[in-house]
Order: sequence, then C-alpha cells, then structure tokens
Amino acid sequence: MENCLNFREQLLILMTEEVLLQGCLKNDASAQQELYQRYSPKMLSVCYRYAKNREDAEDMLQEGFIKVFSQIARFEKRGSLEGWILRIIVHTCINHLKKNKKFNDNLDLAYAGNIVIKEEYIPSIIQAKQIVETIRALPIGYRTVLNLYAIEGYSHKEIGQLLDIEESTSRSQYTRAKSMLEEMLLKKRIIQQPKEKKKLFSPVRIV
Amino acid sequence: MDELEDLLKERSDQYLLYPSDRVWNNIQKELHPNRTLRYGLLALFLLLSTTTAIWVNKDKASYASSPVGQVAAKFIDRNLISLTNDFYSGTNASSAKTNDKYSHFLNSHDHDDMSSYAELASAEQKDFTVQLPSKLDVPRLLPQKEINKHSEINLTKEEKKNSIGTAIETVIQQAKKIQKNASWQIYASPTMGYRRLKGEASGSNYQYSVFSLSTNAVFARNVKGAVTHKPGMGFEMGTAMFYPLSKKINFKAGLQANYNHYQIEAFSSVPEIANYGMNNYASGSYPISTVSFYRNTSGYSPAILRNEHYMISLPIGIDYALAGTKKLNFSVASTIQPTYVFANYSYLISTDLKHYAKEPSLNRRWNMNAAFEANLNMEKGGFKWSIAPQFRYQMLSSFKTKYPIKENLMDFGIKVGVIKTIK
Repeated sequence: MENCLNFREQLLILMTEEVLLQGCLKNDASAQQELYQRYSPKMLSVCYRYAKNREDAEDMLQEGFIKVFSQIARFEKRGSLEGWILRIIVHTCINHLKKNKKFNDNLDLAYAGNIVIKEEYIPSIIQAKQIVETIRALPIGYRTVLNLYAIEGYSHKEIGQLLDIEESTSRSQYTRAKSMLEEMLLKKRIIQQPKEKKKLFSPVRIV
Repeated sequence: MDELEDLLKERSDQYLLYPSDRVWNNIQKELHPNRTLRYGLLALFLLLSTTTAIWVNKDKASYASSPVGQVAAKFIDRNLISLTNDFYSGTNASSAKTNDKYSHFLNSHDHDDMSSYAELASAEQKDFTVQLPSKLDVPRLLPQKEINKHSEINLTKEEKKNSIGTAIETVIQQAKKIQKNASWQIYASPTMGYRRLKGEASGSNYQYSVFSLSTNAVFARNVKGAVTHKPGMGFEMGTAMFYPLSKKINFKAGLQANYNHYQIEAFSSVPEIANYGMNNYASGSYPISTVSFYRNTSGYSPAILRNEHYMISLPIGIDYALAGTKKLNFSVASTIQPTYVFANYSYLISTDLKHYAKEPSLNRRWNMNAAFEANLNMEKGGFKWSIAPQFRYQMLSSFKTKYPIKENLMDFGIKVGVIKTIK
C-alpha cells in the first residue's frame, strides 16, 4: 500500500501542472487560486525588480495574473507554464513602465551617463535581497535592460523591440548598467574585487 | 554569460516576495464578477418588489383621496354620462354623427362577428336608435338613475351573451372585485440553512469512480456519517398577494428570493482528481472526474467550504386562520414553491467520499420547495404585522438523479411581514 501511495503521490506531482492548467481552462476559481499561490511569490519578486515600490509591483502582478488567466487557452505547452507566465508578467511590467514618462527619459543614454552612485543608496540587507535591492537602486532605464538581459534572458534584439530602442542602445545600456552595478556591489562588499582573472566574483557570506 | 550575470540570476531567482491578499481578491473580482452581479440582482429584486407594493398602495390611496382625483373622477363621470345620454336617446343627430366611432362599437352589440363591423363601418349611417339592455352592467360609469331613464332599451339574453362590451365589463368587474378584497404582503426573514444528505458509496459507484490507484483505501460507506457539515445563515425575502376564499381561508401567491448556505468541514490538499460515479452506468451515465483541492478526511490544513444557493420561487398556497379577532389572530399557512436555482456554488463530495470539488454539471436548476409557517398577526395603523416561525424543505435533491448522493436543503426562519389591504 505504501508503494502504491508513493506512486500515486509521484504521479500527482507530475500531473499537478496539467491538472491546474485544465482547471484554469474551465475558469475554476480553486485551480486559479492554486496556480496563483504557486507562482505569485516568484512573479512578485520579478515585478519588484522593475517597479518603483512594492505597491506598484503588486499592481503589476495583479494585471499580469489577470492576463495569465484570461489568456491561458493560448498556452501551447511548447515550454513550461512558469516560463509562459513569467513572459506575460515581464511584458506587463514593461507596459506599466512605459506609461511613465520618467522611464522613457531614463532610456536615454546621455541622461543615464551622468548619474553618480552614492554608497548610501545601496541597502544593507541579506544576500539575495541585497542583490535585488542593489539592482533596484540602478536608474530605471539601466535596471530594466539589466533585468531583461541578465536575469530574464532576453536578447538585445528582443529588448530593442520591447522597449522601442535600438539594439545598440540596449547593448550600451547594459554595459553601463552592469558596470554601475558591479561598482555598487563592490562598494557594499556584496562581491569581492577579483584577484585573479579566472575567479572574477564570489559572493560575500553574510552572517 | 559571465560570473556576475550568473550570480545575479541565481540570487534573483532565490528572492521571493509574498503578495498581500488584496491582489488575489482583486484578481478574483475581475475574473468572477458574477457573484457581485448576483448580489446586485437580489438587491434589485427586493427594491422592485418593495417599490411596486408601495406604489400600488400609494396610487390607490392618493387617487381616491386627493382633491385632484375627486375632481378628475367627477369630470370624467359627467362627460361620459352626457355623451352616453345624447347617444342612447338617438334624438341628437349631430352628437351621433360626431361619435361615429362609438356608434360603430355599440352597434356591433347586435352582430356576431368582425365582418359586421366592416359592413357597418362602410355603410352611411344617419339616423339610428340603439337599444340597450335594461340593466346594462356598467355601474361604475353610469349611475343607476341614468340607466333607468332608458328602460325602454332592451337586449335579448343571447345578445347580452355575445356582447363584447359586456364581456369586457365583466372582466373589469371581476378584477376590481379581486383587487378590492386582495391584500399585499412584503416579508423578510433571516434563516438557518441546513441539509439532509443521504446515499451510500455503493460498490458499483465506487468501482466506476476510482482509477485503481486507491482501490484498497478505506472509506466510509454511508455519506451521512462520512461528512461533517454545519448550518449557515441565509435569508429570505419576498412579496405575496392574499385573496380571501372564505372568512378563514386565504389564497396566497407571490414571488420570493432565497439565499441558503451551509458549511462543510474539509481539508486543503494538493490538486487531486475527484471522481463522481453515476447511477445507471450501463445506460450511458459515465463517471465524471474533476480537479479537487479539498479532501474530506485529511490534508495539510483544515478548510471550511461554503455551499451557497441563490433561488427565486413562486410560492402558491393557502393561509388558514385558526383563532383570534381581526386585530390579533393566529393562522397557519402552507405553500408549494416552484423554484429556479440561478446560482449554485456547491462543493460535491466524490462518490468515494474522499474529495470535495465543484461540478456544476451535476447541479439541478429547477426544483420544488414546500414551506409551512405559523403566523401571529397583529393589526395596527392600517397595516397587519405578521411574525411567523417557518420551515422550508426542498423536495427534490439539489443534484441530478444520476448522482448517487441526494441532498435536500432545509431552512428554518422567523419571518417578519407587513400586510396591507388594497381598497
């Protein structure tokens, strides 16, 4: 019986995503809630990296999940459901940002180049959060490109199309963003200065 | 990708934030607006029924009592009498000529079919005499003394029978008579909703419903002993018309809205398949499977499920006065209520009695309820107030017959109503 139940539990784990998907396709509130509970913490942290504050991040998350549930019939199972949801959430975040004039101004390289980083801008909190908060301390244009390229895995071509900028602008933005972030992380000792070229960065253990 | 990028990605993926409840509530409102809509419809129904009842009473009262109403009534009576007198006497040719429209109508009393109307309409009519029955049944329009003046005008019995005018008048008379004696009630009641559950997870149901993964599981066979449920608050509101059939018996008919709910104790679980075996498997009622997030007996956290029903019904029945005076009396009433369940948010137990899930295809839309109530009626200030303990029982199962488990809803309540007689 034990083996039978174990097999059943294993089967259920494999089935879960499919079962949730079927429930969501039937507009079943319980399935939708389960899917939301499963993916919302990760998706909120994605939104938070793009948003100005936590409240804006929750607004983005809400808008994104409404799109997810209303468009779920379009999911073609070519990739993972999580990846599909992530893509919708990221696009929602970008749309949200585009409505803000400041964001569009910040995509301008000349503006971003004049920004001076002060050490006190970098929050001092535990490691994963430190890195996320440091990313958030970047100018909005820089951090968007950095998020899209380094974390979400978009190409510069895709970023260019998504943000209505040139591919070369995306590359330059990213180079500057990365350089600025590196400087900030080093100043806060979240990463160490590389002594050898092979071992560039190692995270600092925070006790 | 360099080391910094790896680090960024890795740490960002580790970082989780938990959204506030507000986010999910807003998403749910956006995705399932029907609940709000249904509450709105229910409120609208109450508002409409109340407004209608008030309007009916107000309209009657204000017309009869207001100076404008009295003047208007006199004016209409005088002109109708004048017109009718001129016309009936047949002495005033000009009057008859200017009222051809009426003359055609009244002349038609002598004819059986519509072709007579056409013939009459086409014929040139100059002088004519109309014979009226000695007792034309239009007492509201013509005072008896005016009718008596024309006692020489007679219609045969057969002609009377065929008279459209007489028929219309008869209907109006009847309606007025009913209206005169009818009273109107508006009522509301908090209720306690519960259910009677019966059925067994029989071998055959079980066999059809399980995909062999848990055939060796132990489960309770009788559904009544396998579930934990408790009553929930609901409400009832409606409007009814009373018509006296005799001194003690009133006929009662109306429109009523009910909200019933009860609670089930269950447990949250990982998504699993709930199976619903069907009766008459051989005749093609195949088992149904759906996603369940709740188990009946064990899970990772306790959960309370609310089974909610929104219903509209047409109560028709009898109210019998047992004792008392006009001011204070005691009566009992019983109604039968054809019911439409316009929203049903119910979790159904799977036929292996292990899971709860929503399966709307197994819910019955049309049902029949019976209600019994004992009324204490008090008359004060032109209104009759009524307080009545009542019991309402759903006669057919909430579920379709193919689902082996039967559920009959019950409501207990204390009804408070106000009755106004229309005069």
